[in-house]
Amino acid sequence: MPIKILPARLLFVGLLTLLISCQKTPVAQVYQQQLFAFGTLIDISIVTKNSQQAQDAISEISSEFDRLHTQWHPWQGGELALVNQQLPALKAIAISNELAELIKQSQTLSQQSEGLFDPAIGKLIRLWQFDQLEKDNFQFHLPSPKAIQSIVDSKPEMANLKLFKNAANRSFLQSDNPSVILDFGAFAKGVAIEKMLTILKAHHIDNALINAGGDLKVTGSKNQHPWRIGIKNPQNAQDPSQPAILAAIQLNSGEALFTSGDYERFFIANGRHYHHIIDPRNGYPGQGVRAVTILDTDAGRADAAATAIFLAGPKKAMNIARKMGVTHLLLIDSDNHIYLSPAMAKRLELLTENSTSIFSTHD
Amino acid sequence: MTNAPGNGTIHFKGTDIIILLLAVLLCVWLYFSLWFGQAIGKADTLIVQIDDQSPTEYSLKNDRLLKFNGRIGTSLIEIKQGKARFIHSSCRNQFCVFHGWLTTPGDTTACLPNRISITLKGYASEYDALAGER
Repeated sequence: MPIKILPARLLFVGLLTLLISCQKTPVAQVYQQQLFAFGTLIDISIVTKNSQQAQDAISEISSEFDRLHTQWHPWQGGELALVNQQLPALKAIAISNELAELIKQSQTLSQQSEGLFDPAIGKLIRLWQFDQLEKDNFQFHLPSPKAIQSIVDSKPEMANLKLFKNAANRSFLQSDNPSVILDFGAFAKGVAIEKMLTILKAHHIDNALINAGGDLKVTGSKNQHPWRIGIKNPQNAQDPSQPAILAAIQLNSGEALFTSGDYERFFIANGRHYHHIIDPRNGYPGQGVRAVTILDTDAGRADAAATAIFLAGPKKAMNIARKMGVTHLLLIDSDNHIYLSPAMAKRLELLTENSTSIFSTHD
Repeated sequence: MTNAPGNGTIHFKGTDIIILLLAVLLCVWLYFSLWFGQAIGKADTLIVQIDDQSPTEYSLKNDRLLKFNGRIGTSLIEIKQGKARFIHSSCRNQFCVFHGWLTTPGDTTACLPNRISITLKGYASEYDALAGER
């Protein structure tokens, strides 16, 4: 059976090419480290050829997380704890410019969210003990409806706080409602992650991912590929036969992904499930929603919006998102129906067969 | 296979064709099995981190129980059929135990009071991170 040499040679080269294509692509040099900080587990991935550079940045990040955790803890001996002790006296309190900035940003977001995100409800959070999740020496007890109602009736809100500066540019804070206690549990992590990205930049690290207990922000890419994130499926938490991943998404540099959900941090009392997202309107854990995931370039806003939209529910979700300046949102209701904003629908790759609807832009 | 010099042709025998076909099939099979095979996207390793110590890796191939001492006491971790979970921890809330099985690469849970975390890793994980409550 004669065959011309040329096609035979082509065939040989073709086979070689096929074999070469079996070779693994070069492995990304990703430096990874896990930290126990900020009351959670923090995973840091840094793409670099210089592991010393990564280590230096991570050690600075670690101490910065520890510092902020102490300073912003509602009652454990840092600056915020001291402020919380003094607030009910309704006198002017000298505070750091850093804390003043945190309060100012959350006042704006709280107003935009129509009070659904409101760090002034520290008293309620404390009553529900969700500020003590990381501590070991306490036992959950259901708060009395009377105690809840009395706090809700006293209407603590961020608008009760007045920020001002004296002639020497020192920041002061004054409350006009003795019921206001600050708890930044739904905001501090986002703001902290933004600060960590600034630290990375100062260390000349352009490609990294910081994942603080499932809330994350990326910068740059991973060896020219966008960072690829899997969004966990809330149904999998109760039923392991359900897919573990709900959707996949690729993040552009500077994008953050924040989730508020009812499926990991909760207590069970008298056969009922009490999660940690407290509705300022009635003082109880929000109903009807399992999880909200927000994509935004500002991690602090994403954090606050995830809580606000969780409490807003599907009917008001788009309205609150628009007021807060958020465009990308994913909401899963308690029947596991998925709602997406049009912008989010374009970005997400859904991996489950849940019924899905896309919010209209006029909602 | 004989090469008659000068006339620019190769003479293939029937067996040559079969060998050539087998080689092509082998390449195609290797391509798909190596790129999209079982190992890819599946967890194969458990990483255990205790406090600030450097993490330790365990293969998920062998079923076993692991016992560790952390800040407040012991944590017991089970590896079974390629999955892992906390089955006991000396903490009161037991969030780590309630979390149940870890099955996917990148999945992680921790006993924060005891400062012990477990994370699954795969040969080529599909995701750089997992987002959502934890």
